[in-house]
Amino acid sequence: MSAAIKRKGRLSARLDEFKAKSGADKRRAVVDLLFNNAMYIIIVIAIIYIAIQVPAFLSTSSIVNIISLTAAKLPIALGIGGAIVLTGTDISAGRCVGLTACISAALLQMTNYANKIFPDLEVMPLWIVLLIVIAVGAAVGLVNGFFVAKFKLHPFIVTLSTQLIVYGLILMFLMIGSNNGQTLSGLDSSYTDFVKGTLFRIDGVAVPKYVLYAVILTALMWLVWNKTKFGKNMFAVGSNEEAANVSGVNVFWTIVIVFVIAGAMYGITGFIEGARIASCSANTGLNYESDAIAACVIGGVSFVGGTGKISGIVIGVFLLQIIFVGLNFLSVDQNLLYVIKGMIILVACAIDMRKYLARK
Amino acid sequence: MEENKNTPAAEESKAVPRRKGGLYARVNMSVKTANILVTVLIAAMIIVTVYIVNHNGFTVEFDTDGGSRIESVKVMHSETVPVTEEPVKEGFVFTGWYTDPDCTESFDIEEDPVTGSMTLYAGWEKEE
Repeated sequence: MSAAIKRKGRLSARLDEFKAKSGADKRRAVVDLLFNNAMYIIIVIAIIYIAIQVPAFLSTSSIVNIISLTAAKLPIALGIGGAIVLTGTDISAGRCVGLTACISAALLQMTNYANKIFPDLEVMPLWIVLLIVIAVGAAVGLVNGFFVAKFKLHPFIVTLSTQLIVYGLILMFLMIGSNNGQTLSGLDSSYTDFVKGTLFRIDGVAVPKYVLYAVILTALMWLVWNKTKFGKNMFAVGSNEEAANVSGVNVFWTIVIVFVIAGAMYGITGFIEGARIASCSANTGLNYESDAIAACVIGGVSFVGGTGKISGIVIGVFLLQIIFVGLNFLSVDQNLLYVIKGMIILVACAIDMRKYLARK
Repeated sequence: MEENKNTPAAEESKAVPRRKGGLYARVNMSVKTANILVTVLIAAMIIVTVYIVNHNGFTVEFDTDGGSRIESVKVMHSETVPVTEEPVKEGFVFTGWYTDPDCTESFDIEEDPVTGSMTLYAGWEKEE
């Protein structure tokens, strides 16, 4: 309640500020407002257009589908968000999700499934597998973070190389035993129930359990970003590394931990993704990082560094999934969707850059 | 940060700018140029998207595994595949369409709606 009043107060204060401006300043303020929110305006227009063209787009099952997809893609964006706050990025994310998804699927196949990758393996307890994949993801993050922090290499280059290394590891992993690179399926029901089981139903449409896990992870990351010393240090390093250093922030460990947390997030995403898509191959997770980066930039996590909010990331992922699901309803082929995704990233970054120039 | 203004560390940090521009540190253009750039990019994005939406449709291809050839068809979202002819293959009986090459996930071509581009695989059983 008090938050609503405060927001209203802020809004009217802004309005008064706007009224006090001269003609030219007023015009500039309007232009700024339009440019800075151009992406949101376009997305809202697109949603209205799609909803008119295909009414099924706003059906309960479609909305639950959008929310589920948002939940599935959220953890990876929360991880990458930290790297973007440091003015870097992480393009090894998708392959990391692929590797951890394959590991989870391999360790949790049904005991009586014919094409098991580890024929003699009993179904492992879920929490052990979860810890293993978090550790694998965090290990990749540690490598990323170490080279970025220690040798000041650009994250694009470091994560490009780990992306390739991890892809090689996926291919080798899928060649273990007699598997010969085949898709991993036939998952144990304890695993699929834990991830895809029904949380509750809206209008008879089942909401999967991983929505809850995404909510928990979001809350956790919100606490880390806003309530811990590490979070404050991360924003300080993102704003200006030298300034953070002279004011006593341990820059090295801040960068390393940002990447390790990101890696752990990819591990969790891989664990969820393995059960969600139920058949893991070398292509699982391909290009997931592009969606996550686009979502972060749309949500206001700036490449300027040191700015960004968890709520922005959630909104970014959500808006992007609405658009993708909407374009699917308009019968847009998956291949052509890549073209649109690429343009969205370019436009989002251009708007982000314009915001920086206008403030400077 | 504000409370320890008098410490040497804070004073030194005043000398370096708080924000360095990150990825855009080397961008050197006026806001006006940036406005034009953003406008052009947005226009390009809208044109491409409109073009793609106007040329929409999912492609459904048919893999008959050596049987008679069936041309691929274009299908819209949530429609069914408009193919009624069944493939033929000498010495085999057609058992239906499947979404995977191993023929485990069956696809009812008259009932199941299409939600994306895909390849359907013909299932065959050896003739007695």
